[in-house]
Amino acid sequence: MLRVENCRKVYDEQTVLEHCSLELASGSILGLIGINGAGKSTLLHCISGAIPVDEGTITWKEQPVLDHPEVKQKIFLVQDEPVFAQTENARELIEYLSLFYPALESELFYDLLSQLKLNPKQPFSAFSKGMKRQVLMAAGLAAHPELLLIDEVFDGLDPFARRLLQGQLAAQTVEEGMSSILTSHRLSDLENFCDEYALLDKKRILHQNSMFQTQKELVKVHLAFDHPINPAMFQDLELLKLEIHSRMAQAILRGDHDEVEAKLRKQNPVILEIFDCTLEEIFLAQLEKREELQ
Amino acid sequence: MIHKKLLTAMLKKDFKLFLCLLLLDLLIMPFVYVNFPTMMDDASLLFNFYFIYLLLLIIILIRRQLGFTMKREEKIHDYQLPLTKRSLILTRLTAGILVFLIPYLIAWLIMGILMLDRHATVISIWNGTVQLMLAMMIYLCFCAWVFLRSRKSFQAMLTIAVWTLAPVFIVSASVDIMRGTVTYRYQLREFFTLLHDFGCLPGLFTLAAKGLICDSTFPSLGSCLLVDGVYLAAALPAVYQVTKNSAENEHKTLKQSALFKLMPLASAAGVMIWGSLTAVRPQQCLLSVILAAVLYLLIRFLSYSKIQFNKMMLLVLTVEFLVVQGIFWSWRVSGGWGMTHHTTVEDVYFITYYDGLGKIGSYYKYFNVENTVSLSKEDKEILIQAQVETDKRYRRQGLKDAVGMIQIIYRTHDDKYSYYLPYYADIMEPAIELLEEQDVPISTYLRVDYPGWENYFYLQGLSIKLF
Repeated sequence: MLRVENCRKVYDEQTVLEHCSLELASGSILGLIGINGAGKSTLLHCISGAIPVDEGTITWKEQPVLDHPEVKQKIFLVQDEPVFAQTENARELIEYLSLFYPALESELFYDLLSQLKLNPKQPFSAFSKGMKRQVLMAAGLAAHPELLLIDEVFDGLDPFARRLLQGQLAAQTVEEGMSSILTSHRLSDLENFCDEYALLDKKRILHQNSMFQTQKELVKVHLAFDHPINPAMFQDLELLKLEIHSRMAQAILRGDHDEVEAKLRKQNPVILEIFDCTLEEIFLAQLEKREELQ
Repeated sequence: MIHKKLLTAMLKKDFKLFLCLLLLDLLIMPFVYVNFPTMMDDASLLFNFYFIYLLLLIIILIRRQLGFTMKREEKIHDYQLPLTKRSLILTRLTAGILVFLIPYLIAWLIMGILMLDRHATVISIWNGTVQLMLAMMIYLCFCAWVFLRSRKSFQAMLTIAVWTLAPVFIVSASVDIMRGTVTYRYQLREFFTLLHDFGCLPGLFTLAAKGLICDSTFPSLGSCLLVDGVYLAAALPAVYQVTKNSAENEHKTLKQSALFKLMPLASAAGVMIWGSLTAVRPQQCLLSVILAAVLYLLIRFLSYSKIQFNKMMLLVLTVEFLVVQGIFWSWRVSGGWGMTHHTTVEDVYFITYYDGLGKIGSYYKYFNVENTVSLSKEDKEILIQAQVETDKRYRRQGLKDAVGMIQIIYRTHDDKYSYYLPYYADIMEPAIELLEEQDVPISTYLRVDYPGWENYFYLQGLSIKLF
């Protein structure tokens, strides 16, 4: 189990993370979301043990990660920007990584590469950014880590590569109990794939919950009335977002579906439709609510 | 501490490079010596070339094997691997040392063995090799420290260049000034030679060369090892600290280090000291202050990419200059705080050496008092009188009107000391005429060369000018 406790990270006198805490159970996939510059990549770097935190602790299965090679062997980070230190091609890369990751399975790596139609002997300089990311993700999966960290997970991947790597990741999660933390700007990538998500904002994890739970707690409603809408009619409800267009309204509310529906029915709407929120809507609603409170 | 699998993989990968470097090093060291043995008669060029090559090797080693990179992504990639930061750096450094420096050491040793019949002894080869290895370690630690603390490649290279070369130039310039122009050189000679050899990193390498060809007679291996030990005692903990993967370490940059902050100031201070040693007139003092300020601002500009005209720093430099200048002036006026001797005829047992060069037109007149052992009391009196007058004149007007130099070595009953005095024609020429009237044999002839021969040291016909 991953446990990030009360972490603080400062870069060049600028605090990136503060009082940041996160927990992740084995065998689950977490989507880490946040605006640009929120500190998602920094958090992944700290979890991987690549950089130290200024305060707080990061443990994997109760063991600290930083400066503990035996723990770091179980964690693999795929960065947003592909880097292949001192290796020229995929073959050299996997030989290099096999020095450090005892569980690394070369056959799986070559198998994934052949399915992705990538030549392991071709120099990286001839690869596009997407191809380089495919190689790194394949290497990360072939390393059979217990915790896989992928920054901007499907960024730059074609639909075929995305589906293949997504499938492999899901298979390893189910079969091996691998945990993953994925970040992406395309929240739709994460929505149908993650078990839970964490919103990183204001230098800390603002909200962490399972997708199921979140969708159960948040309700999106479309309303229409035969008279102009008075915002006061929503005062009994916990509003995250409200858009009113004359006699029509769209709102995201926190609460149980049935309770919300019952309260809204009392206002005698002409139309009342209830939907599940998408991750993007949840993300935007949370941010807007936070800005309102400020 | 060292990741064996990674080390083996790196050595396998770089084995061809090792062989190429070995061949290259064998070609440029023993091969050059065997084919051009006369080069050793003036070995300066050869050894300076070897050491510059070695410095380049070390910098390449650091950049290549340490995986030194300014790119954040590459650093993250390196440090996320399942080994500690220190282990990664030490493993890469070990691979680098084996690949880059071992061929150099092998070539050095073979050159020493080839020199056995001419200059070297078994002990000198051993001493030279020990010195070279220690110097390599010290320089490696310094470069590693700088690279790991830097955030900009240019910043790292500038720091290495300034701290490697600036002390050499400053100390060499000071030595030249002292040798060429200032009296009481003898007392300062050892100080400056030691400063030259130990005060700068390439000086450590020159000691290796001296060890190899001079049988380590100057300075002794013991004193070299002692100073090397001090350097290492400072360098190793610094590298140990800098390879630690801690938050405090990550935040520390080269700019924040005391060494980096001191760089412009220390370089300017060098000019100040040089100015204090040489300036006689107020205009020269002013020139030194301006030069020091320009140097300070230039290095600050290059290293921080912007000029920060710090008035306080300039004030500090000026005060420093005045203090140093004051100390040297008081030294001159007082006669050197007992560093010089008040010479009387009764003290002088005999004069082992008395010669000098004075400029006449475009030539130098060389004169040499021969058979000084047989000098009479009156003859000695003439020489001592000339010396005392010259001494007084120098304290009063510095080098103004001096057109050359005179070397005197006295042997007293219990001591031996030497002076280098300015050649004031109006004092020396009447003294020489008086001596000639006394039938003291004096040889005189004209020389066209510059009296800069003091920059060399001699050993069995071998001369080396180091940097």
